[in-house]
Amino acid sequence: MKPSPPPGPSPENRELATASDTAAAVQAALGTEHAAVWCYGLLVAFLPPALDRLARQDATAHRARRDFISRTLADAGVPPIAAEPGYRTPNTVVDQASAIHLAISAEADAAAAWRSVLERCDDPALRRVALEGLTDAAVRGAQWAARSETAPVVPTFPGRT
Amino acid sequence: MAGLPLAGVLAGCGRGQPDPLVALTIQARSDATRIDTIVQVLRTGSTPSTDPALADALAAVADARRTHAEALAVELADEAPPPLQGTVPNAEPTGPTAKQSTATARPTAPSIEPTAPISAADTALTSVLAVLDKAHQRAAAVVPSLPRSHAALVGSIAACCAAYRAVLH
Repeated sequence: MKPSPPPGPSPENRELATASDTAAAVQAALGTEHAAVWCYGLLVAFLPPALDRLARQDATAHRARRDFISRTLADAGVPPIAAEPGYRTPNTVVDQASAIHLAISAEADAAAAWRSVLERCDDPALRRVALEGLTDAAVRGAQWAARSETAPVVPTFPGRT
Repeated sequence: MAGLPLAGVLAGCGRGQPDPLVALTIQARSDATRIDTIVQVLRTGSTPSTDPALADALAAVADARRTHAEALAVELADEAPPPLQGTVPNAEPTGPTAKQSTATARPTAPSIEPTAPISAADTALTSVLAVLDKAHQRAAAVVPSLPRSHAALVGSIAACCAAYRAVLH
């Protein structure tokens, strides 16, 4: 029996490999996932046990998406960008309130990046990935905002800058 | 608010298909009206809710859905061709799909029986969660097939509905 031929590149991989604007947008989204993982690693130290669990869940979700996108880019022949050694945060994290603020910022950045992917791709499978990234970031950001005095809890158009 | 252009229904994606943005616009308007009614019942019903914060939270959802409808209508207006000479754009969409959607878009009084404050609030919340779930599902379903220029807007609307559902749940 002859071995079956290896599957060809999926449509989303083809678009990533051939459309520079699509690949750039996905790389940018990967960058925000790297940053979010780093941010949660920082902010979790300032949260009480009740919120610590939520932060760890969110960090796990970002790590999973980061790894999936890295694999998808690599499969398309596009070297995924690596994480930076550190990131400049929009606020200094010194307590629970500032930690939650950083989580909201990280999720807003991720939402904006995934929304940008929606504007720069045509493949339905990649659209679904981007929509999931946008939606998950919006949900997580809203859940953190609901635990603080931040308004609005839910932006009317998440990811729109 | 301006009505939906007829061209949005007829032109669609250029293949004679109804533009999915039309149905989403009608649904967003309908959701806003329905949630407004629910909020009104909570605030002024014979047995007002014991949780005014819930009424405020649901009012924010209604505002968001109203803003969604306005943004979608702007997109439809931008892509609509100019009306033919001697014709006036319809204020409401026509055609079988539009008629069906319009019929479902008619605001109806929510089936809330304010027998007790707590049950009224619970029923109101359950109704709005169902509205948000449906709105999220419908918007998310069309994102993969939309033009790039509309995918981001509709994706954000889907995300907004999902986020409200998560924090209200």
